[in-house]
Amino acid sequence: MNNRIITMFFLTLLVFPQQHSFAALADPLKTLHIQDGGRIKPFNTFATEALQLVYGRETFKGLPSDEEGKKNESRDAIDILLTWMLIPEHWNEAPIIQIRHNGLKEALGLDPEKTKKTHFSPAELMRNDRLALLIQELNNQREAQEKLDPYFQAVQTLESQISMFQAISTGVALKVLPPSEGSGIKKWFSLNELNGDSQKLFSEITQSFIKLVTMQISAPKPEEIKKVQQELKVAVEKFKEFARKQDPQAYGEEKLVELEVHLKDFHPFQKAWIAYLLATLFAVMAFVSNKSWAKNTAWVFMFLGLALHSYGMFLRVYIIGRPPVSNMYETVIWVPWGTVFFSMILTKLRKNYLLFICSGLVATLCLILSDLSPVVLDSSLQPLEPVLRDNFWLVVHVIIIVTSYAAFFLAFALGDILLIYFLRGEEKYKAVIKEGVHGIYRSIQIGIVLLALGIITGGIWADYSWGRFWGWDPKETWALIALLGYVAVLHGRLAGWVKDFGMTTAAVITFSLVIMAWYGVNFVLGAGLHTYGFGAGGVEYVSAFVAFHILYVVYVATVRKSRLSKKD
Amino acid sequence: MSPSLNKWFNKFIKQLSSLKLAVFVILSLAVISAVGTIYEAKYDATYAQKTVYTSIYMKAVLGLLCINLIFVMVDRWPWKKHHTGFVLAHIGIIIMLIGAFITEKFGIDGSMAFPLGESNRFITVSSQEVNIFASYDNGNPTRVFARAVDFFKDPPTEEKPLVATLGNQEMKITDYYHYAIGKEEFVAGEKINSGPALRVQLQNKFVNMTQWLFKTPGKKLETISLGPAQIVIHDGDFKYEKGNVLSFQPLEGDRLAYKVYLDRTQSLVKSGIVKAGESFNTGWMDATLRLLKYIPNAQRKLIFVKRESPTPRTRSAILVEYNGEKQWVGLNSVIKFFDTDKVYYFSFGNRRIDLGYDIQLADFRVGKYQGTNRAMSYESVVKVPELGEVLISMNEPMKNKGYTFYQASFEQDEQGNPTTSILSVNKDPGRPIKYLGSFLIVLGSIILFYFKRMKFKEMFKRGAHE
Repeated sequence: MNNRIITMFFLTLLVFPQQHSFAALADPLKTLHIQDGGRIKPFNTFATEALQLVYGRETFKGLPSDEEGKKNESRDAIDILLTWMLIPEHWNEAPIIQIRHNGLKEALGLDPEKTKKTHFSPAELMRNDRLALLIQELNNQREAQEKLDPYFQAVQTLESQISMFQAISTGVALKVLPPSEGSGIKKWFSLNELNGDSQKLFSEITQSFIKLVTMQISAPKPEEIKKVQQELKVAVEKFKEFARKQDPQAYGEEKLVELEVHLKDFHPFQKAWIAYLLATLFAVMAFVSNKSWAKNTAWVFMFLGLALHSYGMFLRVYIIGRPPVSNMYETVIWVPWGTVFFSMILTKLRKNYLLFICSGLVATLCLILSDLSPVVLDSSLQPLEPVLRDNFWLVVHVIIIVTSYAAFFLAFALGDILLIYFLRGEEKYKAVIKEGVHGIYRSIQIGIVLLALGIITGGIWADYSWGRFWGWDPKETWALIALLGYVAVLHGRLAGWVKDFGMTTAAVITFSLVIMAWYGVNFVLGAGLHTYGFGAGGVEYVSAFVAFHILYVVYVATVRKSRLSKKD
Repeated sequence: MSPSLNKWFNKFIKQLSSLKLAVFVILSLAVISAVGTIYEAKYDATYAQKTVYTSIYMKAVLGLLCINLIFVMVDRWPWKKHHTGFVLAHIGIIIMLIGAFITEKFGIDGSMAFPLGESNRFITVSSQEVNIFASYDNGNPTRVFARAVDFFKDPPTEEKPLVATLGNQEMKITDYYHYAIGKEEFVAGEKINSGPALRVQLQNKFVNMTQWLFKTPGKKLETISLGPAQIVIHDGDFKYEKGNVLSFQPLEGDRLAYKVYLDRTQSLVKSGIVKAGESFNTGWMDATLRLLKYIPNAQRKLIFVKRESPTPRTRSAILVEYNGEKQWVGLNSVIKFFDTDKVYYFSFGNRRIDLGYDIQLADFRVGKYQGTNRAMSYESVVKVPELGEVLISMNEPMKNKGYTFYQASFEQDEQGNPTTSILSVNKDPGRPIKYLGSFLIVLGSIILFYFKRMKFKEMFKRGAHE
């Protein structure tokens, strides 16, 4: 009976757009504690991460088989995951597993007409004869401890997508109940292991959810939905109370789980970049017209952005209980914070709103990037590798180095914008250029001191925990190379070879070294001791970004040279 | 000094202290280091160290850097107040390089492995050595040859082998693979000291597995797991107990008798006779078994296959020749050469330094993140003479008699239980010097940029007044 009703819900998912503005039907379930990935997380986080892995998005946008033009509204991950569990046989036939690697699709003989299909159904994949062979080959590679190429990485992803879907549909993945205190077992019980009271309590949750789902068919009033949601809430609370009683210590703090749900729902980084973008626009006005209201508004939005940005970082740090220094995503969040911070100090000192424009753009770009590609920049809250735990020097070293990148980023953005003024006329905009170059010079100085300090504190940390002050590890070596690059620029300026134009181009070009140290070592070289930050993806975009800037500098330099030679 | 010589000398000093040289040195250093990181990504850290970071080019550039730093400071003599930052930063760099030099010359950087409960007194370092021991009439082996080697730098070849003269015979090392994977091979040998070896393939729609099965001489039977089944080779009778089992019994010539037992029915379901190249259906999940190769009198031999780049499985290997017999030996292992009245043990391995006392691993603990197999922290409790029991954990090393012991990593078995704790051990007399250098560099740069700012301010002020 239930099954049929939920099947109908499933069909409504496919056919009808969502009629109500409720964020998620199963909203009260968001704060259910789940043990996963070595920590306790809210069901909300678990569900979005699982959907991201299997389907490739954090929300469900309907199936590709739906008619074009009639766009479905996105649906919350928790609603979708619950139906995976309740009616797996239907989802089994739905194209929900994302495969992006073309070589893998070809190897599996999927999509022979090359229609650029990206999603396939679990059943279709399980029926595929070649899948088992591919996984066998993958295991051979793993056993031989060979480095996995992108093709085998794709096979590996597919393997985990399928097993994740199966683990959710059978309930194995959802570890919801801690063993009773003193049992000595750390691993929680999953849904399929519940029995007696806990099973009964959880089935109350499912009953309420099913009720909510079945109501959808008859276009219910908002109050009616609210009422059933209240029922669901009570059921969830009851289950949580029961689970907490098993082992209050192990069940985790309610506040942290609620804050994590809040972090995801409130999305402070998105709001922060909107504020930064507005600050940038007003800074442009302030810079062009010199109106004081524009200046003040730019300051207000800059502060607002920084406050939201800081709030988001604070939440992450508070929830996971460690500094934000472990992966690419966290540095991509940290760097714009530093850039905005430095630009505020320098703008306060020199009243140069060009700095605001630059830092606003850098911050907007970084924060949008951090949201754009969860595959490359993993925003999930992960427990730390052993070497990274509990060490003061580590935290100091990473924060200082990443902050130095922020200063160099500011110099880079200033250089980018000053090049436009060089194009528009060096003589005409002499004052702007002079002031801008001063900003570049200052930013590079701040960057150099911080980077040198960061490399040295890194040495102290390495010495303290490995007994090696300097080991030519690629990450530290590239930080040194970046430092040497900027030091060479400053020496060149001292000798009088690098003048204003030289300084501007150097700020842009030398930043490529920072990109290499920051991104390239982890994503391109992929070697060395700093393996805990490694990832893959985005290489083509980053290379294009660097190449574009080099071409841009060459273009401006050529134009300028021909102008100067005409003048002579 | 004649005036012209004096002038020439001044010019030379000017060159050595010039900014041009400084920028050249800085950029060279950057380029060489960048090449090093690419080598490390392509090969490994040792490769990059040996070809780049400790290369003659690197040393030359660092030497030039020191000269440049010294002369630029001589050139500014007598120093004024505004030179403070400049002098400190530059002296800091020189001191740091001196510290690095002392570390490289006199420091020790190695590791010690402790299987659970066992003792160790040797630090293993990265340099390598070759030792040959001789044992006459099963007596205690005595060392007859020892040599420190760096085959990466001077690889031995057929034409230029490393020769150890042993009495009137010679033992020669004629080849070296820096990255190689050890592989077992079975070759047909004499009747004595040999056993049957067969290569089997199990295949159905889902699996395709190939494996060697070898019965060591003297043993009654040998078993391997192949997918859903156990494969057994045996002499004489074989008693079936449980599981999917396929048994082979060598017959005369190139034939084998086989028997298939099914777990579900706990009984013999099939039997027959095969030779190499033939196959039969096993009845387990529709899988076919093919006997790819059969060597009735086989001997096990270890060979090494050369690789261009490393994987966690590769190690270095050398080819040793004695009395016309050639054997490969991988790093940190021993091979034997039999002669009429003696046995030679040839060992190729990392150099070991005797600590002078034993350290025992009393306990090793791994903390895991809840509900996973991911290590959260790990620590060793070691027993040291005079110190008693000491806890070494990540970021909390133990210091003793000039050496520092760090918890580096551990090895575990297939069930995820730790088997061996690995400590990294080191002695660094250059440490305080490097720390002093670092401090001066940072202090110097801050003062330097601060004074620059003051100078700018003055310039702006003057500009405003004029």
